[in-house]
Amino acid sequence: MTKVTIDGKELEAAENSTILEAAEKLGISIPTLCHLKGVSPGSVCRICVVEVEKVARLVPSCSYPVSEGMVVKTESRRIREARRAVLELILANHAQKCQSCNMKGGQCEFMKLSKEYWVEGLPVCNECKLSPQACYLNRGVLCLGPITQLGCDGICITHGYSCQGCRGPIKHVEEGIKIIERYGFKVGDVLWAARKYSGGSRYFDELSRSLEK
Amino acid sequence: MNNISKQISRVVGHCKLEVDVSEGSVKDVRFNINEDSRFFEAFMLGRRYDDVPEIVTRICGTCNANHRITSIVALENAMGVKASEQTELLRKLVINGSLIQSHMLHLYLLVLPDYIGADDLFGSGKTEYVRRLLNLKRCGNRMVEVLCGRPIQLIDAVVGGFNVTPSIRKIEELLRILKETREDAVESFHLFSDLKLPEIESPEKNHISLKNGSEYALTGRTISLNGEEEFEAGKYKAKIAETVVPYSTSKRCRINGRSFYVGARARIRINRDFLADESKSLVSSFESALDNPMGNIPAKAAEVLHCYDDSIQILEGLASKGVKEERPKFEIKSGEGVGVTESTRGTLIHHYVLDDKGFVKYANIITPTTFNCQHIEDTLRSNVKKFLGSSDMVFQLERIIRAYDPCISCASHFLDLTVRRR
Repeated sequence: MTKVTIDGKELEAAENSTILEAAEKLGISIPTLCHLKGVSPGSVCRICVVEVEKVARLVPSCSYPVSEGMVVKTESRRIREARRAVLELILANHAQKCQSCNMKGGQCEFMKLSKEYWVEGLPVCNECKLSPQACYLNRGVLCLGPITQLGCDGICITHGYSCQGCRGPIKHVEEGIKIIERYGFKVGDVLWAARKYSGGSRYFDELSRSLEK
Repeated sequence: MNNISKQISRVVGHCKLEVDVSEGSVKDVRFNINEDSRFFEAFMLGRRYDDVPEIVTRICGTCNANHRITSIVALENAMGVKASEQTELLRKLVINGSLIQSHMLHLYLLVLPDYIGADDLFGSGKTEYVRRLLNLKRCGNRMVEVLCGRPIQLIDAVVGGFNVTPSIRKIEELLRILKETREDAVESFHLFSDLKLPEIESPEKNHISLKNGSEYALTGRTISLNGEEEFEAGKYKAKIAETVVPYSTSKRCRINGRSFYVGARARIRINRDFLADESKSLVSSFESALDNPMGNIPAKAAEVLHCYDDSIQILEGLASKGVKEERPKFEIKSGEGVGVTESTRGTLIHHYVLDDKGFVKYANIITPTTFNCQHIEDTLRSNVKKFLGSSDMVFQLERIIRAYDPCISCASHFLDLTVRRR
């Protein structure tokens, strides 16, 4: 047996077990994406990184074995930032896939984590409960869903109101605007609507200045 | 020279009281609203009518429901839209819910600590009060949430009606919650009407409130001055004079050159006959306090009970008749409209002018605290002498201000004396 300390709690872990397994025994949850029980760990997604004392880099808990006297931290600012960076990297390759994905309604692990780690890239569309046919944009109503930061659970849309953008723009606004443009709206329309809440954001501020010229 | 300047705590927003004392006599009293300018009236210009209710809900987190409903009423008046009877009832429920939660918040958290010798309610160890407050607040919030989708920054109420009408199941849920917590409202009334309120003389007796002759008016078109004189809400400008003072970001309002007050006390004085039965009989227990600015405290508690009974009655009516699906339908027209409702702190006026495409050309909002400001200052000015020299002077004066429940963040205006023309 190996004695380890995770987040200040001590545990006798089985030899050769991983930090993730030891933490699980203590009831400490570490987020995972690529990890699958029973399959040898790939340590590819790097979302499960933790801090180990006397180890300079962050280590993936799903594959890093425990050793005698090890002291582990599973929550810190550094870890949070690393995890968010991981999510943003995944998102960069995944942007706007949500609209065609069936895992709507809070089942998607990736979306859950993105919310938890405040990733600024996911638009309200991901939480929207409407089917693609019922989409406001499809019906010719301007909806700021594609450019607005999620987190509201799409409540306005459930209540018969298109998204007005009250949570502010996402990081990649241009991408979202391209989606809206596909439905026949002009940049000016989007700007006019977005000014209500996000007129002061850098993107829309610059956009208004450039259009005024 | 002995100047007293105190930033007031336990009010919504930032305000300051300045008293200049020289050679033992009071030279000047200034009730100073030093909240930043809000620019709400300015940035609604050029927006379309449907943005207005959404923008005004952001004026205040406490009484945003009132702002939203008032702006909708004003816009409907401007475009000549007639709301259905069911919509009127649902709106009344929203206002009732908002009154319940906001009154209770004020009474328990801002006022009560003064009388139980504590700095704040949570630190006072009175868990019974905290429990009661949370029950009542939850109930008020739930009413707004069920009807409008969210407890704050409502969604459903729009020009012409409601986007989504509540189901019978939801109405029954509200009825159950209201009946469960009604006892808490009764107990709260007794708690606040039994408080030993200081005797405060107020030089100005004028007050205004809505009046419509058939019910306890929370919405309407006629404003009553002292219950004697009545004037059309749309002509408020001819009656109420707004002025600016250099030391405060809030404007000052006067009628015939005299300050006046609004709020639960004014409402009860004017609409007393229309209170629900139990509240009406309870009013006599604090009748003498109605002349006293501190009488706002029991008046608020009695009003909460009225809101409970009124809401239960409306909900029972809806439950037996059923709620119809109604879609707001109207044509966009140019026009000018004034909307007045009774919000938590008193009469709230919204005034808009729309062009033929529905874009806002003019906006004016007068909040209850703007009405009350001058009255607060006048009351303080005439009372400050009484407390001069006593060790708890600041406490006594603060207590008077708190009784009015000034909601300062919504009273703030941009003040620029060089530009403003009257």
